[in-house]
This record gives sequence, C-alpha cells and structure tokens, in this order.
Amino acid sequence: MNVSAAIRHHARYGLHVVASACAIFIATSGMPIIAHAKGPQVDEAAHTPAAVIAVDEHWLRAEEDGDTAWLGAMLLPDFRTINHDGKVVTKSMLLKSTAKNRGSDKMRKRIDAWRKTHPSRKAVVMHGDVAILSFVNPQTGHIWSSDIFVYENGHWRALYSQQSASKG
Amino acid sequence: MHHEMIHRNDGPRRRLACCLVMFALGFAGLAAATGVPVHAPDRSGHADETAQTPQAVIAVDDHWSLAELRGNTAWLDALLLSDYRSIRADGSVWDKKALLARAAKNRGHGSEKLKQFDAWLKTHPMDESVIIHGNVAVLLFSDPQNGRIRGSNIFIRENGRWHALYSQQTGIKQARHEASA
Repeated sequence: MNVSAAIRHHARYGLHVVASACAIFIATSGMPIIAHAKGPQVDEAAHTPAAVIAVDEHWLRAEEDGDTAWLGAMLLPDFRTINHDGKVVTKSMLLKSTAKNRGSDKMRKRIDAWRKTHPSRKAVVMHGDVAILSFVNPQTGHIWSSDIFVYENGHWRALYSQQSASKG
Repeated sequence: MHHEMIHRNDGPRRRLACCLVMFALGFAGLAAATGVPVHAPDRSGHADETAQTPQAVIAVDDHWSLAELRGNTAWLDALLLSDYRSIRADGSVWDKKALLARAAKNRGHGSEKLKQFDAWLKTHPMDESVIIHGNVAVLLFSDPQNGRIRGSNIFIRENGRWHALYSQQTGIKQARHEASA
C-alpha cells in the first residue's frame, strides 16, 4: 500500500464519520464554506457539493476494494496527489497501489482504526465546473488535504490532490 | 480537452518564495506606507498573461508575486477569486481578505522586499511545472534537487484571464525557517 495514498484515504475517510448531514458552516478562517455529507441516494453526476462528496466516497471505496476500472475512469490522465512531504503520486502509481488492495481488508482495517481517533469534516467550494473538497480538522479548522475535481461530460473527475503538513 | 504540461527550472521562482518570506517576516514590523502607487506596473516579463498556455500561467504567477511584494492590492483583488484561499504548511487558512491585508502592508517597501526575495531565492531555487486541463491550471513548485513539491496554485481561466482559486503548501517549514534566519 502506498503510504501517500493511505494517508489521503485516512483523511477522506475520517471526514465521513462526522459529516452525517448536510450543513453550512463557517470555518475557523471565517470564510463561509459548504459542507455536505453523503446522503443515502446522492447522484454522483449532479453538479452539487453533495455529488462531489459522493464521488469522493466512491473513490475511497474503489481504492479499498481495488476497483481500478472505476478509479481509472474517475482520475484524469494528469492526476497527481502530493503528500505532506511533497512526494508525488501519479495516476499510474495510485492505480498500481490500488490493485494490491483486491481481496484484502488490510486497508479497510487501517482506516477503521484511524477514524476512531481522528474526527474530521469536509468542506466543498464550487466555482463553475471546478470543485475543491477539503478535509478539515474540526478542532483547529486546519486543512489536512484537498482534492480538486473538474466536472466534464456529466461527471466529476479528479485532477489534483494535496496534503498539508498538518497531521491533525 | 486540452492537456499541456511544461517544466521550467531557469532560475528561482517568486510566488512561493513570496509566501515563505512574507510569513517569515511576520508582517509585524511593516508600516503601511504609501510611497508606491497601487497601480505601479509590476509585470515581470513580456509573456501574454491572457493566453491559455503554461507560459501565461507562470507570467500571471510572477505578476502575482510582484503585486504582493509591492502591495498592489487592486491587481491582486482582480486576480483572486472571491472564495480564494491559501493553505499553509500547517494546514491553517488564509482567505482573500487576509492576503490583501498583508499585501497592503508592503506598500512603500517594494524595493526592500524584492531585495530580500532575490537574496533568499538565490539559495532556494525552485522548479515550476504547469498542468493545464481545459480552463484549469495547476502550477507546481518543486525542489530541483529531489523533485518534491513545495506548493501549488490552482488557476481558473475566466473571461480571457487567469484567476487564482486555491493555493496550498506542503512540508516547507524548513525552508520557511531558513528564510527567516
């Protein structure tokens, strides 16, 4: 399992726990941002913050399950994720590490353990066909990581992810 | 769909360094002098900043650095989208208002700030790479020695111009500390 991907997973997953309902909140920074949680029947193709979060949750499940087909379609060709120390993980690297999760619950267990000690929330900023999904430490308002999505042909696709140095 | 990526390492870049140095200085001792006109020309080169090219993105970013150093808040205000925010290495957030307020304190100190910048940048060279996907551009700053990313800016092209939506730094505490030494 790629460490960078694992950390990013953890950040995303931890946020799923706290965000159990759609809400609008004011972040610590004072800027209004919108947070939504995955609803039971969210349309991932919708042009909404809830859809962005739903896609992100699908992304998490796809990595956990080793669903490289779905992941390959969702990630844009130039996708890359940057971990907290600046290391780069490209689409091909992420797909390769994801494939290793097939038939294993190791990753899921790691996430389950992590989320118990890392409550968090997510926030979506939408600007036209671009969405930024950020994962926030609810205690400090600091950003752990963000995913940048682009809406194309009726689907949200990931272009870029980056972690900050914050470990939460 | 348009993808384009370039790498450039022809010398130190200003934008990220601007963040680092400004943070290091803390802004505390800066007076809000008015010696430099808000609309002072601070473009760094001759590239067409409106083009949908990596070169234009870099040109805008350079312009951004100079505008911030010189306190050109009018230009910055037009560049930054209303929901712009910058995430620092520790995850804390600067919004547009905070950035403009800090930039305003540099008015009248542009030359001084530029000198500090250039001195710092000589010992902290950075590579840049640009990914363009449609009307979205990701500008990445990396350490030329190890390729690790120090930060990134996300731009959106609207009405023929690039606008900044988001910035984020990675683990650059060491570099920031060095800048303040």
